[in-house]
Amino acid sequence: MLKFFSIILRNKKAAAGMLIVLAYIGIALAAPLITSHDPLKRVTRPHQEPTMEHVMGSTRMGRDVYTQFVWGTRTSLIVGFAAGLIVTVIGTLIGVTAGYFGGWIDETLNFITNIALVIPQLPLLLVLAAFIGQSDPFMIALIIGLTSWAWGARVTRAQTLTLRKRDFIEASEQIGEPSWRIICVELMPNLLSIIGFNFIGSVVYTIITEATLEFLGLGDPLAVSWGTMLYNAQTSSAITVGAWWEVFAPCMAIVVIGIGLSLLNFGIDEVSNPRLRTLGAINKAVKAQKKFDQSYKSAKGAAS
Amino acid sequence: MRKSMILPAIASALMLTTAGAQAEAILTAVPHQTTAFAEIFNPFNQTADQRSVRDFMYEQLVVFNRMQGGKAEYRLAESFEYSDDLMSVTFKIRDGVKWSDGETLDANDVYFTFNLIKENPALDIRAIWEKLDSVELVDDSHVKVNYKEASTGLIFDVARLHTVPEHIWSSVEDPVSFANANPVGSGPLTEIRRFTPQEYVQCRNPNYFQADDLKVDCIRFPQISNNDQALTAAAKGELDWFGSFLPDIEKTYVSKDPENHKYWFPGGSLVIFNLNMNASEEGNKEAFNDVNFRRAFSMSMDRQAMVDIAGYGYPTINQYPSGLGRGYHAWNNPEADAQYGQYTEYNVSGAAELLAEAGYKDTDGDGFLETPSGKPIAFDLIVPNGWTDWVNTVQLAVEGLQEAGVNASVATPEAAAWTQQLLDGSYQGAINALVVGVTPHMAFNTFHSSKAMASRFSVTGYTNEELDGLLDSFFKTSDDGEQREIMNKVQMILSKDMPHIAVFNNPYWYQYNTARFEGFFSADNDQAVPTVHDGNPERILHLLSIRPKG
Amino acid sequence: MSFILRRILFYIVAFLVAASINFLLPRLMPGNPIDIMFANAGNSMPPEAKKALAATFGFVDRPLHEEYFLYLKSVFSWDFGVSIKKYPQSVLDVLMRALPWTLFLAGTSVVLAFCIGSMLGVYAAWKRGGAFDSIVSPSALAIQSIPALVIAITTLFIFGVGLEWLPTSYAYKPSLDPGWNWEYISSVLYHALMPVTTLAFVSIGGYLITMRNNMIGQLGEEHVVMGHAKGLTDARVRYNYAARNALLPSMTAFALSLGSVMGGSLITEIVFNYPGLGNILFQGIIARDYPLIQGQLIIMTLAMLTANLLIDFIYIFLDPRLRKA
Repeated sequence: MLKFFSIILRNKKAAAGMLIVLAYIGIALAAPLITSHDPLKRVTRPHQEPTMEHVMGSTRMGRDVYTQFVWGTRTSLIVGFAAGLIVTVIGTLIGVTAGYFGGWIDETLNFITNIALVIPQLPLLLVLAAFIGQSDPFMIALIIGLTSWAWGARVTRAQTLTLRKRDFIEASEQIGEPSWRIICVELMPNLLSIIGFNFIGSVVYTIITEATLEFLGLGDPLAVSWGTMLYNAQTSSAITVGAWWEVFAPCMAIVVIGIGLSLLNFGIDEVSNPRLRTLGAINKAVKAQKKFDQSYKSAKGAAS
Repeated sequence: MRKSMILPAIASALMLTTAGAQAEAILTAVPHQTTAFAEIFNPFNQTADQRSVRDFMYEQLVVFNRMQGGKAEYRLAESFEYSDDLMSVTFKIRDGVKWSDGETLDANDVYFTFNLIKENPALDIRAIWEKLDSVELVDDSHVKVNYKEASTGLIFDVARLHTVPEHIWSSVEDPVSFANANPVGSGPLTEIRRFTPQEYVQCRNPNYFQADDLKVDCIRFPQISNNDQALTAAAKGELDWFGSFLPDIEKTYVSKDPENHKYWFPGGSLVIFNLNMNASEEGNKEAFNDVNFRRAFSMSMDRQAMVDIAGYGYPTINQYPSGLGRGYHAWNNPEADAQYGQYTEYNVSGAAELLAEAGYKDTDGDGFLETPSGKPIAFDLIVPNGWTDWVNTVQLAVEGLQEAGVNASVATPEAAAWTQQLLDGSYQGAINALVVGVTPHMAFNTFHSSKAMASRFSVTGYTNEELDGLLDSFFKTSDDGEQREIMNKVQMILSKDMPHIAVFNNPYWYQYNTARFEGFFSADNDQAVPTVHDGNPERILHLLSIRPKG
Repeated sequence: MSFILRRILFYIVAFLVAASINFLLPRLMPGNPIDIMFANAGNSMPPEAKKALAATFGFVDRPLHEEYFLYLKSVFSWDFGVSIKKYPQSVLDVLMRALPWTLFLAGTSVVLAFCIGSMLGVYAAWKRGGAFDSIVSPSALAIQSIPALVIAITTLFIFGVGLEWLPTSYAYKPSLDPGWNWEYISSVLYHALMPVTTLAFVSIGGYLITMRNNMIGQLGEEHVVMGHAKGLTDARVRYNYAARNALLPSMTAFALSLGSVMGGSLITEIVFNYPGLGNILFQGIIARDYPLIQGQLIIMTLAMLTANLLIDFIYIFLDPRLRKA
């Protein structure tokens, strides 16, 4: 496991992504330490520009944007990771089961997956969120988790199908290893990168979708998250009255975490699929080859 | 060279269009926010997006001007007269009124319309047939409406009937779903000149009975779907008469053209807190039924902050202990203020003291008070999700209550669930608004025992026999002094018992632009409720007072 | 051919499932639409009048399974009932008025994004490791993770509210009458500029990355190497050999992304007050317009299925092996 991480972190993009994500996790964990009051407390006059005291300004209700951003980070991350976990667990279970057992199990599960893929997601989520009524962030995480597993299931199934035909799996089967052992010990480690990919992708998707639902007013207005910050900014026409800071903070928060997670994902993808490398790696390889060729040639020349 | 030839051409084209605009006065108004218009001009339709059909296309019988103490402004009716027992009222219909297609409008049409909404209850949007016994056609100019009970208040609903032409509607198969795409009306603006889902233009009725007073030739109704959009259009000076929630209005609207961009926010519906006296939790029930608790609740309300912060300073603060509201100050009983006024002043420490005196203590050490009998108090104040100014108001209320030691919190169900919880009595506490009528009677009558739980306005579970009697007698008399006496007593009872906690009056949303038109109502020219919204019967009076500049 | 038949059968079942979900969801919602309709009307409506109205809207007391079959019957006979918010218009009327705008918006932007994204992807893969690739590919990745919501709000406020270069709402200038004249068409294009760009921008990065990665995979394949060996021009190899095959997985990604495009167009329409389905759905949800919400989801699912079917055909065109399968 540690080795896995160290390989990934040798990739520059993954490292940058990891750094961003860790910074966010740090903010979320340290929320009580780096803020001085409740994020819903009125601390100053409405719509104050950023000052030394309130570094990100204040909202229409006179709340501190910085404090809301910090606590919002906590909510958004928890929601993202929770839903990501649900999506990954369901997706992996269905994907592996379908891919490994094949036959009618595969037919059925694949059919369900394909149907889930063609039903438009966001409209469905909007309706669900509306019907649940007071959707607090965790309810939103739950419904996103329960409706968004199809893509992961499909990818995992495809990968399982390929692995299934590999010699080492077939060998294990022939010596009579139980299915659960083959799945857990032989299959899973080889699926790790795709599971990780699925998980990170789902986290990004959830964070964005949660913010969208809340922005549309389908969330709990009393929750502190990036989505409700945007919602409150929108209902008080923050930009129109010139209070750009109220919109800027949550927007940047979403964009940066999105970039961080995507970089991490891209890095993982490159590590597990080396042909995709862009930056340094290929150039380095080419240079190394040239150098080698030259020294080989010169060595050869010297020899002859 | 070529450029110089084009420019004069454009200039002359522009002059032509401005000349056209001068010849015809086209006002731009936004009575309603919607995503798209559709051609529906049925005046009984509650849901359509064209809110220029009632009043502007179909006239009412009489308008009772709320800002002038209910003064009768006669529209299709020329006068009305009660029978001596107040059991019936006879309308005399104006002579010589014509429908926009040239046919004569008389008492037959009015009589037909009363029966139309009787046969189709879905059209009876003001539910008048609940209280009517019958309608008689006396002659071509008189219609007699018979009540089930004597009343001088029912006329406020009856006179708002929008009469439709019998010669058209008698052959309509299903008047409920009738779209009425080619309207024939009696109002000032009946001709639809242009119609797209994004905009429509409604123009002058060729046969309007008050044509001389009508200076606006057409109203253009652009589709506007939210406040931001309204603000953008308003700031550019594109709207003449509208009523939207504009944040920081001085900065975002007025400052763009201080000469012409103006607004006026007179106090409207009464915003109150309801506490459910039949709450299912014993502790809450005990507290809500204790007048001391309700008074302490009221003293924990920072009404000024609610007005200034949650409401952007637009609402009108309401510190009348009975909840009367500034709009009815003429009815105010100063004795109620003197005796109970202290309970509507923001005073959290006073609230805490009052609770302590009444025996409320924190017996289980959770930081919040328990009832005198030791039961826990913990309740949600519900507010519809999305009603941002109210959500913020409730948050301010909860801040004050918690400071006074009361364990209150905010809950934001969907508007539908909020209504449902109020109606089925499952709520604990709620913010609510009462519609205000021509007299304070309409809001206070929500406490009448016959109204209990009948609508979302009457959900506290508070009743009082003496109050019932007073409310009943109010419309049994047409004598001013007697009515005032009754209202004084009503105020004393409500101030003493404080069955709801009033905080402010929602504003009537009204902005206008004097760049092209003048004669708008304003604080200095407060002739009537000025909004352009459907549901404001006085808007017809406003339209007739607007005229193009110059 | 049997491939297409199998797909069509699948789409029919998928449609049935979606229709059934649509039936159940709104019925589980709290609150009664008739109550909500009049919740803010400010008058107290008598129960009989409410009942009369409820019956008009099809809310009658019947066992659930009967309602369900009635519902299925009407769905397949293309009747979605009457809208509550837009009464007395039928749901179909309301939706059909909005559908062309959504198709226009989503269609234009998705095609734009696909073409531009794929072209750039091909180029990046061809020159992989080069300056273009090392700048464009990571930025594409970054852009891909920015939600439509943020882009829509930002562009609206910069170009619409701040600079006032582009209109902030409507599909065309309200004073124009629709027609096939340049004034109207140019107005439509002008008003679509911001929403289309926003939507295209969101998905362009995804296509670029997918295409680039597929392309890199293809470039290593034998037939591409062969093409080079035969002395064909770079462009010929790039497009005829590599890109054609790389397009296949890209098409799958394209099909899968349609759902998110629909979601994106929903947000974009709401932010830019564009008169499409998204705007209607949002209003429907707020007003708890059950029939409208149901019809809406059906139409959106149908749109998705049709698009998928089209992609299946394109697939056959690109991959001759499927024609026989």
